[in-house]
Amino acid sequence: MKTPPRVPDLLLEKLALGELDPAQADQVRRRLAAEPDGEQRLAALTESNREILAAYPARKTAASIDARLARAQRPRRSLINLPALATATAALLVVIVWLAGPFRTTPPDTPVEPGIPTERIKGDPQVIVHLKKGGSIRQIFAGDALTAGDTLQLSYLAGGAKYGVIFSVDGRGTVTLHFPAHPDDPTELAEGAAHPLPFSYELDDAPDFERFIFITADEPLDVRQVLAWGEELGADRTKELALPENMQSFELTIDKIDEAKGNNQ
Amino acid sequence: MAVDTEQLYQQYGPMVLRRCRTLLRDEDLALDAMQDTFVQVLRRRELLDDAAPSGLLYRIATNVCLNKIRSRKRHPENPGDDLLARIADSDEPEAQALVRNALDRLFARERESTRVIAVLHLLDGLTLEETAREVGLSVSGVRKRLRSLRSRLIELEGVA
Repeated sequence: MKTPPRVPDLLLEKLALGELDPAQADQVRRRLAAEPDGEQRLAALTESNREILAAYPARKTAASIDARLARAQRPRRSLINLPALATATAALLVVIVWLAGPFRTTPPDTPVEPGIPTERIKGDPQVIVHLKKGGSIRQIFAGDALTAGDTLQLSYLAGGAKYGVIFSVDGRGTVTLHFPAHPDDPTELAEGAAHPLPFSYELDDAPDFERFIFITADEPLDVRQVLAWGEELGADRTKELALPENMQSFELTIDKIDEAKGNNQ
Repeated sequence: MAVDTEQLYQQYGPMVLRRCRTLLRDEDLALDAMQDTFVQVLRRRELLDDAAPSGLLYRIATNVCLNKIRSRKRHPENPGDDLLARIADSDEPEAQALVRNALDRLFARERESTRVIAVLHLLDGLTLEETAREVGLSVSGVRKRLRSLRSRLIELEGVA
């Protein structure tokens, strides 16, 4: 006679929690009774509950979860000095010219108009984001809310750094390289003025956030290695990059909202 | 629906942590994944209904763990892990699209991630019928998803 398959853990958990419907609960109990260690598995579950709640008490763990929840829900504070940046880039807002027409995510074929005049901005390395919507252009700051389909123009300010990589991580943990255009391209940064990247970037429907990260160093960077670090961030917007000491990171995180629902995508 | 974190953890925390321990085989990672699971649920607490949420939490924990396995590129420690790693990394176009709105699907009981279906059936040992019941699909729908995933795995990695 064929031995029935061992009761899966999920069904055992549901049985212990009283969350199986009566017919399914009866069936699972019968299968458990036929298992040599069926009763022991149930007893072990009870013991495991006790052990886990003793090791990780409910009050303390719930507080930790709530703290993590609060961090996840609040806009991430940018490392950029926002007021200074706002002032310094006001002129940049005026002079950036966008091309009309549809933009695609990557690799877009819609270059920024050549010869865009840019304002010289001093300070730390920065990644600067502008949004084109309707006929207007505005700068985006940490915590601003955008939606799928919004078209962004990224610029960077080297701020004295010689080399850099810019990428973004979205709410699915997907990493997109913005600078250089390809992993094998040089990572040398343009000095001085804020430097617009040659292509625009359209936000897709990834939920919750888009995190733009600018890694700088005084030596050429291995783009693939940097992207691998970005992959490790996953979809956790609170996770920090662990970088070598000779590198710095600067970032800007924007919130994504679902316009239809009026909340985070 | 008002959700009290402490009560939710008290009732379901051990189950979620066990799930994460099983998939990740690392206590620190499992604790991290367990907390991430509750955070994801609580961020959408308004969508929680009165139905028993153990299956929902179990599947969200599975998704969270798969993402961690994939992002950290953990090396498999046994054949089960190997299967898990391949599923986590399968990235078939269908699953890639589906994963994008995993939580919404889970809460809305819409189309389930193929990766989660695969783990429930291939790793956890749920029958096709039990898997279908868990994810709210027909048995043929589950079978079709698994066939698609299997083809993708074979195509990508040459595994049978």
